[in-house]
Amino acid sequence: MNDSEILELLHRSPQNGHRALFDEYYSYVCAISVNILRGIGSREDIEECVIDTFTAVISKLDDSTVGSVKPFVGTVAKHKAISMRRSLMSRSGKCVSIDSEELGELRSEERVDQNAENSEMTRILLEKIEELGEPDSAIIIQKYFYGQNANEIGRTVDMKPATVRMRCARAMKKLRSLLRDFY
Amino acid sequence: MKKDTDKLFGNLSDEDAERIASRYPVGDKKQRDRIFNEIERRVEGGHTSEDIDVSGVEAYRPRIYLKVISAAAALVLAAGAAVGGGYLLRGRNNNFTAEPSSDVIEETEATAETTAAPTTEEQTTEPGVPTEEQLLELLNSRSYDDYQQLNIGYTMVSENGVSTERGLAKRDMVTGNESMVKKWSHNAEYYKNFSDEDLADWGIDLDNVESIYTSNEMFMYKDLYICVYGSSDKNFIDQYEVTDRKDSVFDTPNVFASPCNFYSEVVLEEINTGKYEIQEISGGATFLGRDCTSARLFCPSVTEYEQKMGRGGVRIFDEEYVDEVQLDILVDNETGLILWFKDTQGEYTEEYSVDTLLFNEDAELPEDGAYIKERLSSCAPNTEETASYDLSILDETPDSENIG
Repeated sequence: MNDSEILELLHRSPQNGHRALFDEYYSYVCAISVNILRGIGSREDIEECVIDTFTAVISKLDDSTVGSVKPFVGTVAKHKAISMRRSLMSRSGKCVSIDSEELGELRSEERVDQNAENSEMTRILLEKIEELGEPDSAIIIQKYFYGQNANEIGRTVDMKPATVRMRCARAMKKLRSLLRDFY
Repeated sequence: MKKDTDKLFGNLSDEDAERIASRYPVGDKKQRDRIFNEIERRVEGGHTSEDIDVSGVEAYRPRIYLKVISAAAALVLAAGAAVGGGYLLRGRNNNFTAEPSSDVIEETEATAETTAAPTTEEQTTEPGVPTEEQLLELLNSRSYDDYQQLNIGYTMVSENGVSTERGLAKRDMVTGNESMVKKWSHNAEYYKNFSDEDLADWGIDLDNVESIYTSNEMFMYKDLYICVYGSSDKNFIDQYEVTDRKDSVFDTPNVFASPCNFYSEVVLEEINTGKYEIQEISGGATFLGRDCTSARLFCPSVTEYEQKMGRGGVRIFDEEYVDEVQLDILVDNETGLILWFKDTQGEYTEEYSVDTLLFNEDAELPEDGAYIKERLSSCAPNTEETASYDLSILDETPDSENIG
């Protein structure tokens, strides 16, 4: 479903529109939230961030909204995740040097060269993940980009959690060897 | 390892996120429905956490005082909520006297003579001595995850030598199975405050206390978590408890990364949550024949730390109580494991030392289903729920035999 159809549906049947919007952008919002909250947010924090994002997006979209929804959803997701990250860091007393490598992950699009390099590395990473084949590629994506645990992944790929853990460990080992020349 | 994966997977642009989302939807429908229902509930209730005005993407920039703090004090890293650790830190001594009791540690002259806490700048100029940040990265790397099979055995002597805990953890990442055995014993000093009558009732012979123990044998086998509570008291039969592994804290994600069970992780959790200031770092140490980094850490107030972590409560101290803790550690340069530490708080000390560290083909595999079944046959279930638990999985072919 494209953005125009989602907006149309929101106008005709708000609840169905909400579901369509959610189904279309849930994975996108998850990926952004996990990326920004990685290393500091718990699974519950990430889930809260996703819920907060959609609640805010839905409350802001109205009949007058036209055009593309995606940039709006992406921007709200980033705002929410960055805000939550700040809050978590502040709450935990985490102090980070201004020169810290960690802050590099959160800088804006101003660093065009760095972004281009990261984008290329991510392209290679995704390529190598796909080389792992199914279900290993799905397991890696679900675990590391969406923060899913072995039980949730197990339900998706129809495997026991213990099997998921085992395959994940093996897939990571293989992925590391595939990426040895690039990282 | 976690840091490695953070770096590997943590550079997503919006376009990358979009690409991944379009190719690989988040799979779990149950979770998806639950989240959507919560969104609907909040939308209907008018719950939005804050009004937002989206006009562009805001860059994350630290406030300037963070730079001042980070320059003036130790870099404090916090990694989520702390889980209650099992060990008691009891003391501090202002003099640096901590040394492993064994003679396996050899420090180079340059590092052994270091007495003052060097600054980060100084550390970066000394070859082989990591900076504070590098030490934290090493500790958090958990590079031991690179080994598919792993054994770690340790001895923990606490209460100034009164109590001893011996443990052995085994992991096999091929099958996903793990086990951990802990055995506690005490010397005669421990029993001195008990009456002769009580000791006689318990069957404790003070001339033979070495043979008295209690133990926990924990098996993380397939989807089961089984714990056998044992003791040397033959008047009581050992008991066992069974739960789903996914419901156990010992599987988040594994026994080696569980601050409940594994001392290296307990200490790391406390370092990450800001309990200690790192005062001194030295390179060139060896322990168990492995290259290590040594560090001295200091906690100015256990009480304040406990309160910060929400574990305050009412505490009654005697006059001799000392609130400061000094902690000396040796960190394995390859794996990031803490191989030895000694903490001192007032007159009390604890000393932890790893005595077994085996990898891959040298390591023993965790106990299999047949062993566990045999072990349980001499035990009683601790609850009716445990008694009714389906343990047929113990009869199944081991995972290792199913792997082609």
